[in-house]
Amino acid sequence: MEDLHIIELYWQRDESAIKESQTKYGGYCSTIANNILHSEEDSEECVNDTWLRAWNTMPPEKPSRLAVFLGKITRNLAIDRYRRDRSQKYGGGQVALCLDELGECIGEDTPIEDRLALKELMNSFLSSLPDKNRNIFLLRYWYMMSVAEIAKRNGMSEGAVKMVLQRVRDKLRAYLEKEGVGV
Amino acid sequence: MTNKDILLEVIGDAGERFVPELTGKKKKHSVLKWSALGGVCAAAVIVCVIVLIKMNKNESAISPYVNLPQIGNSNTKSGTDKINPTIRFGEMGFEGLMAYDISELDTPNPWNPDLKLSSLPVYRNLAYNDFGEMVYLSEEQIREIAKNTASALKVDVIDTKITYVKDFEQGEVPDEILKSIYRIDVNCSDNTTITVYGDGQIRIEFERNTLPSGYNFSHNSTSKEEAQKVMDYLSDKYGSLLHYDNALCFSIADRSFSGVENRSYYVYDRSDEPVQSILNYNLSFSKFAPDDNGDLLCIWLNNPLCVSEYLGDYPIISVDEATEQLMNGKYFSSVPGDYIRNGRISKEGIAKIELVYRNNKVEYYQPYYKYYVELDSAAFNMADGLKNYGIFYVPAIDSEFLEEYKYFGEY
Repeated sequence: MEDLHIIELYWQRDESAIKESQTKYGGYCSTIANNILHSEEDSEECVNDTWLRAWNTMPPEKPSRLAVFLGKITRNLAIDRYRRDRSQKYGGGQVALCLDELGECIGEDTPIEDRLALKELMNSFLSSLPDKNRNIFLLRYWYMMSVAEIAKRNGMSEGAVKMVLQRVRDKLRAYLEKEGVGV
Repeated sequence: MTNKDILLEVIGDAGERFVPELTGKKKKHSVLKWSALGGVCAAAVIVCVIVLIKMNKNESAISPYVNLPQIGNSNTKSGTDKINPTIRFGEMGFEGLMAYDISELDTPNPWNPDLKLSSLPVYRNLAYNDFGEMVYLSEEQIREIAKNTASALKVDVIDTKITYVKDFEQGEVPDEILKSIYRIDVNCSDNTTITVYGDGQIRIEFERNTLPSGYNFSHNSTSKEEAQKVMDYLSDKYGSLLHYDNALCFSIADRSFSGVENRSYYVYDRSDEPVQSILNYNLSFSKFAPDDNGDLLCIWLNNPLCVSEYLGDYPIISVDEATEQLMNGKYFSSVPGDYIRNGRISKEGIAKIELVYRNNKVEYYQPYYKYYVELDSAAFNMADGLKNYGIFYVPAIDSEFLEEYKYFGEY
């Protein structure tokens, strides 16, 4: 079913919207959750909760890209769960690694207060990147995909992927420093 | 929250136009456990039992676990260590299922009350630790499992990658665990990837493993008859990998609240010895999963007893004794108390009882009585006629052999 039709079902409060979302994006959302939590059971719970959140959000939301909209919900739920249950030490998830890597891009001396401004800066930064580098960066830090998986998807070596990520992080650090963020 | 945490969140808010599509591999997980969340509820379960008896035709192939202990049910002893029966549940939703009638639910669980078992084995999971990383096997053992798996699949190993716990873990985790191998990924010919985890679990993922025409293999649109045909074929094709003497295939189909089926496919080695059969069904089973194109996406092989220590056979309580405990509120469950009809479980509300071994990152592999209790339908926004069955567990081991523990019946 086309995304437009699925969104219309949500707006009509037709519960088959959930069924259609599950059918079309269940696997996609599971991938995102599992990248973060690496627990099938917990990932399934995140995905199930995604449908509820989507139901409660549309309307008034009418996303232009339903996949990203749903994926973002799942991502946030999974990260929240990771943070909340960090003492249980989720195994194999990429969050801890991603946080470490992003720690290279931003200082901790000055807390960030204006997230909206940071979001605008991030979008500006992303638009300045070549498509390939931007995609690799977001596969890593949006989808929390492992380096190995990114390499496989792009037909690259892991070393090449790491090089791209390092360069983009270096560029992001320089960009944020120039804008006075987190220095 | 640190700045890097905020940065990670902000990246998540990146403009939609930037976020790349995920094409190619789609990992779809079938749902065994459902969470009923407010007005948007979970599933009705239709269990289809597919009985297939096959002999392993490939006698020359070796099992992936050939050199690891295969704990059977011989040389028994009485257990003396006290066991902790506490079950920790997740925090999202609760374990339950929906059906129009409990008769829709049928599983090939080899336990039944007529067996009149007086004791059952308990194992300590040697891969368990308080930090959640299931690690135990050595690099050599894991590599051998991977090599044997590749051999059974008749694929060649191209390269391997080891992931240690320290590669992703931070915080105060003992060195011994940090240095342990979490998993080894083996890339093989035919774009097959074999992953062996530190607790011996095997995951095999295929790039494009298309079934011959005439087989309908899917999560959502495969009838029980079609599922039987698929599992018949797959169980035979991968007989040298499964290494079962008496493969019994089954599929379970849950339904979404709107009625769409979500089917999962399993096979285990059925034994003439009831206790061994119970162990195999609950712990040492294999799972097959389709991708969105109807191809075989992955196979999971479980054999947790190969990294376990047999503690002994422990006396178990009867079903009647367990039911009395249940009705007195002495159970483990993720079901909120508000959903129990009249606030208290009654005998009339019990729809089904099974005996199971839980296998999700547990310290002990031990038996529980698993109750399906019909919940208050007024609490859920369900289709007309649907019933919601919450899951409740009562430890089957006699309390004399259990550590002190606290019941908690709701989250």
